[in-house]
Amino acid sequence: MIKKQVKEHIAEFVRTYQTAGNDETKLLLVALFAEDAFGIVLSDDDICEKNFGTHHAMEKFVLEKLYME
Amino acid sequence: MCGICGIVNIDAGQAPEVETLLRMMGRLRHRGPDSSGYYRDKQVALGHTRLAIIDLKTGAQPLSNEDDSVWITFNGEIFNYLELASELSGLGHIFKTKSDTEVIIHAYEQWGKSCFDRFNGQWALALWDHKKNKIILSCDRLGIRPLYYTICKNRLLFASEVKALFADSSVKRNFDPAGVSEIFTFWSPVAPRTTFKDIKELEPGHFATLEDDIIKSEAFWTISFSDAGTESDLSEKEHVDIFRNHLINASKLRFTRSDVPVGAYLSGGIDSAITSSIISNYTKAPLSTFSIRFSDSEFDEGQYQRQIADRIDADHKDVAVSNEDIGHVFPDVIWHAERPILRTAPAPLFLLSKLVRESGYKVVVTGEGADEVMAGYDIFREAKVRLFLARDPASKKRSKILSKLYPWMERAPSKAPAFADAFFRKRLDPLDPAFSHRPRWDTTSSLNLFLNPDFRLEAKKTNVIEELLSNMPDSYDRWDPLCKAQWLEMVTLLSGYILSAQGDRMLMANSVEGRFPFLDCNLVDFASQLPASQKLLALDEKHLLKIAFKDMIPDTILKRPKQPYRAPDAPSFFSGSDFDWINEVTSESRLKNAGIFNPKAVFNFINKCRRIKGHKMSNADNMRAVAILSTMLVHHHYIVQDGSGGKDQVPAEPIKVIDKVV
Repeated sequence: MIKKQVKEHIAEFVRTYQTAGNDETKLLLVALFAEDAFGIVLSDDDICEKNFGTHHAMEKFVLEKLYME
Repeated sequence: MCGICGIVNIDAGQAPEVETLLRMMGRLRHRGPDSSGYYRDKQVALGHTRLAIIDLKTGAQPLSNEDDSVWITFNGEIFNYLELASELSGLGHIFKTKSDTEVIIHAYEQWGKSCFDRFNGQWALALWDHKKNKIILSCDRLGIRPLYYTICKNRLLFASEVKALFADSSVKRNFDPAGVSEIFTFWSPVAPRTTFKDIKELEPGHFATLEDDIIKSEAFWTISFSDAGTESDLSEKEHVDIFRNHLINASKLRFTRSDVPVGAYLSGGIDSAITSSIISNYTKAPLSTFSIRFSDSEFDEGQYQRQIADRIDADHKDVAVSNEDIGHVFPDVIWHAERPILRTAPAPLFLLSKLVRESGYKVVVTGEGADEVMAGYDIFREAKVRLFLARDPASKKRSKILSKLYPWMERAPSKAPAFADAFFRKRLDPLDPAFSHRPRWDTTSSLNLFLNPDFRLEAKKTNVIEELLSNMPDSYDRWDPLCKAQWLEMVTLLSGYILSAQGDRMLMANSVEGRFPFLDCNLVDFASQLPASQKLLALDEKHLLKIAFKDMIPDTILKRPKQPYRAPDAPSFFSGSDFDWINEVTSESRLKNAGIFNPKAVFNFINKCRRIKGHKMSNADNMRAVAILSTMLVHHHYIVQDGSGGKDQVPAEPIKVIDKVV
């Protein structure tokens, strides 16, 4: 998946759900989405506001994770 | 929409009996109250009961080709019949009617058995090719229209409903323990198996021929999905546009291809809101819409139905359904359904089609099929959440997402997190091909504990789950998990329950035809190539559908949490009147004679239901109550009695008779 597609995918998710902020259940929903859509695997520590609380954070974290993996 | 039946002699012998055929047709009168007809020669008899919808003047059946060498009896609609008629006329075929029925005959002459690929519609039919001495049965792609058959006394008998086969007293009436086992696992029998021993149902998307004394069926279409990662790579916007066009065309076809007025169901959800909104653009008069209201507010969606009706300026009617109404009509519902059911949901639909008919309508467009095709059901969300748990079983955080599941349930996971965690973590093997459906099947299979030991032993001889999984397509393993779940849902619940027990039977009970735009063949084929994430984005069900029609549907409907169509179960039987039929079918003598259930277990369970008036019962207990009562009603109607429902009727007049024997 190219970078542009990743960004579009995340944007569509945010349009549908808005961002999670520090809502624990919403953060889990973002994690579910990220694993499902991009095939990444997350640890409990990954599922946090810093990585998934905002649109920008989501993009940054997912792209880093994809690049690293 | 109509009823069809027939008798085919396997060997030369006496011509099929007219009296038997007329009895069969009489049992299908509710499917075709406008007129009837039959064709008979020395080998074959074809019967037809007509609900006249297209070509009211010359569309009576059975019909033949130009030289009377091919005859047809047909139930359903071929929605692209005008386009096919034009093509066939260009190829030299001469039409004597304006019906879709005749198009099938000429299409068969022109293209042989591959004609079925060309039909966009819903059908069950029999073609008698006199020159080739062949009978051909066929059923539409998804099993919208039913067709049953049996071989008895060297004859093939077929009919739209099993009760018509039982009109021939030589056809044995026995339960098939494996069929019951399928219902007590998947919620529905899986064709060709039925509730009854030696009675078969033609599989969806198949045609069948008689070879010597064996029916051989062959698929002309199967449900299939793209391999994961190879789905259509058009942009989401392009998918939205194509999908929107497909649904608009499918809805328009189903609304305009009729010579009688067409109404619509409004459930309060987005699917029927969209189809109703689309078709309201194709009529100058207000669209007639119909809804179910429930006196129990837990199930009622009246405010949403009214919002949509107002928005499209519909002439809206509804039927108010109480718990007692459901208990009252339940024996009739089961006579029509011809199988045990696990929920009472068909009963209000039986009352709704009655309202439609009494309002002067005999065709309705509904939103059926959207949840299967576009992934709307909770079971798809559940499977995704369970996969999320399975990816890190040791996670201390992940269980909290279970609170997103089944918010409408009285005992929702959010209210009992520990129970939910234990329940949804069972069978958490992502490599299991039936991963998505194991919790449901396990819960449902608990019904088997009520079975009589001998019956249970017979039922267990067939491993119905292994059998189903052995019929998976070769490409199944390569599909996205969501597509696998969709396949399981479509081959079990869609054709065996949603479209039949809850669909065709409840509509046709009151002589009403249902039309389902979401099951249009072009739309289904397109949707099956979509990336899974565009159908279920995270846990947002029917995601692409919502985007495609957000301009037509108010936000209050579009964004309301999904509420599945449900009706009160156990309270319908135990919270009010003491129904005589319950006492009768659960009496010790009846239970012993039937040999299906353990009488003591049923006695104790029914007493418990009575004691608490059916209230505050678990999901499983509600299901048990409905399953036991419906099974014993099937036994009453079809084993104790002869299947006539105590009301054998004659076919409707006028009767078109083409008898080559007399």
